[in-house]
Amino acid sequence: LEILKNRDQWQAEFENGWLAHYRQSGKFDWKLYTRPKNTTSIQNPGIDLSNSRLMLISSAGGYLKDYQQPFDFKNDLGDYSIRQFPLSTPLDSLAYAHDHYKHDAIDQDPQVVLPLRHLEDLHNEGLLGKLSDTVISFMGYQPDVIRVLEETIPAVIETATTEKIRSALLIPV
Amino acid sequence: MARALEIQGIATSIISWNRAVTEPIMPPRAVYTKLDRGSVLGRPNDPVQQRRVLEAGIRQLEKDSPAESIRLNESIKTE
Repeated sequence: LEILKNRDQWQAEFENGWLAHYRQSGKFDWKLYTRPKNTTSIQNPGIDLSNSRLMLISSAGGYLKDYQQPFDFKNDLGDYSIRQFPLSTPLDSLAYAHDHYKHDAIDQDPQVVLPLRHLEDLHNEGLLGKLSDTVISFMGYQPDVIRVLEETIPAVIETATTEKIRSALLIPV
Repeated sequence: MARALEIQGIATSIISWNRAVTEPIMPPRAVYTKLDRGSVLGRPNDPVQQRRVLEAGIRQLEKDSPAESIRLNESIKTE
């Protein structure tokens, strides 16, 4: 099963269209950008929430402001790296390197996109039997899907495997 | 990313305010809202709304994929 259908076609359209225009003009033309799509569904069984380790994956660009490098949010071609931080991280220890969304809401209340305390509460209340203490974070401005496939996803899979998770909640910003 | 995780046997659920972008990638399990970029789970300082959206996304994980997506009427407008 392919992660991205027609990968070679997508890459050619990206490199000859959006990327070529950007390199020539220094400007974005999103009419030239091909959004990835799939035509087949993936079949997998559901999980028992009481007995399956869950991990949170966020694209809000969150990082530990005192210990980690921020994402390269000023890079027009995106940042494909990930950060990890504990689920138990105090919310005021995080900062967000991602300028493709307004930060008004997250500055008031980080749980609008990063529900660390809510997940702990759901675990304590019994809905979630097991929680990974590792949160995966990346900066969701990633126009090059091939780099997502070759850089971001392998890093996420490696962490997911190490953490022995059975389920993941994805919250794109 | 969801598909890559599913291939590893990891069930995934996605919570999205942007159904027009998310739906074409055919995520295995999804919850769509009328919220906004930067306020994916709800209004700031409204933990009740945030929990409603979050729990809907988590509950999707119990379903076999491809699961019928859920559309919530949650928005940033105050009730």
